[in-house]
Amino acid sequence: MKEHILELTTPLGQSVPLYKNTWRSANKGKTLSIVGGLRGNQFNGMRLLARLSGFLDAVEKGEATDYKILGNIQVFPLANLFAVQGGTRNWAFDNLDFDLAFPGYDQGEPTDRIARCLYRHTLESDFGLAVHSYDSRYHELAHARLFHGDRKARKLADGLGLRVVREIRETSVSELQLISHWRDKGVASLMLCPGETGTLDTGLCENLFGKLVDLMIGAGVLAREGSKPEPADASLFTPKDETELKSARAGLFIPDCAVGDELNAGDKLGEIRDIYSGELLEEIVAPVKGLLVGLRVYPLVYQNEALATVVAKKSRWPFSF
Amino acid sequence: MQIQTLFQYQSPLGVPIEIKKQTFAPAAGRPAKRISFVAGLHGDEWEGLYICHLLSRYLQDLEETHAESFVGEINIYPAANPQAVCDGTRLTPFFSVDANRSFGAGRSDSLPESVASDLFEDIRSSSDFAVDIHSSNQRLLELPQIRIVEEFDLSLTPLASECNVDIVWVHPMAGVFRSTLAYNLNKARVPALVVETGICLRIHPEFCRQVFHGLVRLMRHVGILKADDPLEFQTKKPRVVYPHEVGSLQAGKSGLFVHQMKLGQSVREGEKAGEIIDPIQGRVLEEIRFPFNGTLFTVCENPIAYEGAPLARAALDSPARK
Ligand SMILES: [Zn+2]
Repeated sequence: MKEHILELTTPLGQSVPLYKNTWRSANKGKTLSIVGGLRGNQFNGMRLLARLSGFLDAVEKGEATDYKILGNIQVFPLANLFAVQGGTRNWAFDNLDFDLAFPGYDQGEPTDRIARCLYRHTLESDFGLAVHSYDSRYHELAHARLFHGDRKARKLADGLGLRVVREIRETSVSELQLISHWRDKGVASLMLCPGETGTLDTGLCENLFGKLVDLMIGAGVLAREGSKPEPADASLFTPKDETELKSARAGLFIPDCAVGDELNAGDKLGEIRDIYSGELLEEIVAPVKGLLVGLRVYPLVYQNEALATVVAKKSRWPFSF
Repeated sequence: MQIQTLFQYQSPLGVPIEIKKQTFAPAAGRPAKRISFVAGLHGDEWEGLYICHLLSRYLQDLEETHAESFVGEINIYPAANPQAVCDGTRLTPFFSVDANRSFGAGRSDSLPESVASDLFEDIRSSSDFAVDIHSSNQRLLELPQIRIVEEFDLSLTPLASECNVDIVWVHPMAGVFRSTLAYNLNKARVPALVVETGICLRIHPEFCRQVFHGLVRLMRHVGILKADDPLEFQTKKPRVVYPHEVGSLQAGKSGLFVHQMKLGQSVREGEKAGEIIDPIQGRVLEEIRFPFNGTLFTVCENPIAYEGAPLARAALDSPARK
């Protein structure tokens, strides 16, 4: 069911509603909250949550007979309404990074109010999933993120069955993120990063949709007759497992690889060339054997910018904890 | 005075982006104390650049006429985010990062955070005191003031009281401050004041001179400059306000805010502050009236108002109970 949860008004008097989609079982079960659209250009996330909502509607209507809703599921497909409408990453009016606006403020301006509304609607959930990708200049393999050492989140990520789960170190900035606030309230919370920002990859979305269904079954908010999710070959990468390659020179970066490539030490990842002469300034080479999870896609680079992230599978996962 | 390039990074054009600092050394021996002034972390806030210019001119003259006045060391970082200053943007261009929300993360994947980390280390290691100068944002005009997070009240308020500002506002902690320069310096035991004055994209010379006089006073107070030069300085004792002594006025409706408020104006409860109009329907949506008696130290200069927008802040005459 599409529920209207907040009303905003523009200076020209136009109403702009904020919605959530909800599905509830008759029995009181666990609650899963999924928030997306934190930026205006996260199209994979938008497609993914629309696909999921359509599926859950079908389950509710009895059209997907193998499935049954056991708990409460709420999906907030678009958080940063004005950025989505304006076609920009952040809302041009305040230029704030929406994911850092939590826990928000009821009496504040639109970004504060939306953040507060989302926070209030989700903070008593058992599980929280923020669908969020970062920089449109850096293509990342679809993966899940959680805070280093967060065991509840690891367990939730286990149900997602993604190839890559990255643990991130907490910083003074990440403390402001929605998943950090959820975790502080005891919500098992993850960030799902659905690939490249600013483009739409329908095949990837379909694949991630299947993973989300598995996560919901694992979390006990959805049941499927017969089969259980197949255990996936997921790996948990800690900050120590990651190697970052940076540009020693500025210029035009021309990649020679793609995210998801299994690399050997010494493999060429790309090169940096001078913009004026085309002269080769630097060759970028994999320093270790591993999986390429991040790659610069915006060709202009400054000196000392991240070009690629390689993870080496040191810690196998799932494991007991 | 020496100008030093702290560090540089190359742009795709092959041009170096350089962060520079000016250093005024003591007349003799080791510096008694060291102070740093930082401006231009947000590239659309130019009042701080002009304040640094006034400081630099004054100190250069003083070096020629009263060199013995320099007991300590003074560092000035007039444009700490040079790319943003050149583009006149709050965020660092190309990277779309807020430089004053990049501290405290340590060295990281992102170039702006690495630069912030190096800048922080340079300021921390060469300062016993620091002042970071800002100009609010593109919407709010501020009377010269210093803002202090409550946990640093005891150590910072006596210093702020020397700075010739109108208001010292001691406010509660919020998560966003954790990634600011001043908060991290204070945590690293370098007392750091945040000046807010004027508004983005403008220079208010009278406010800048007021703050400049205050910063010279501060240097005399902490024993970095000897008070033996003949120039007369303004001396203003600021009003120190705590959270219960600050009143704020917000928009109840979205529309265009039209007002005649003035900074420093003394206002009475019930007095009209302005109105919010609906430009499509030709109606007045809301008459804005002050809900307090006080003196305005923040006034909204951008007419676009969404419901909840801050329109004014005041130091209250008779504060609400704590
Ligand atoms: Zn600023």
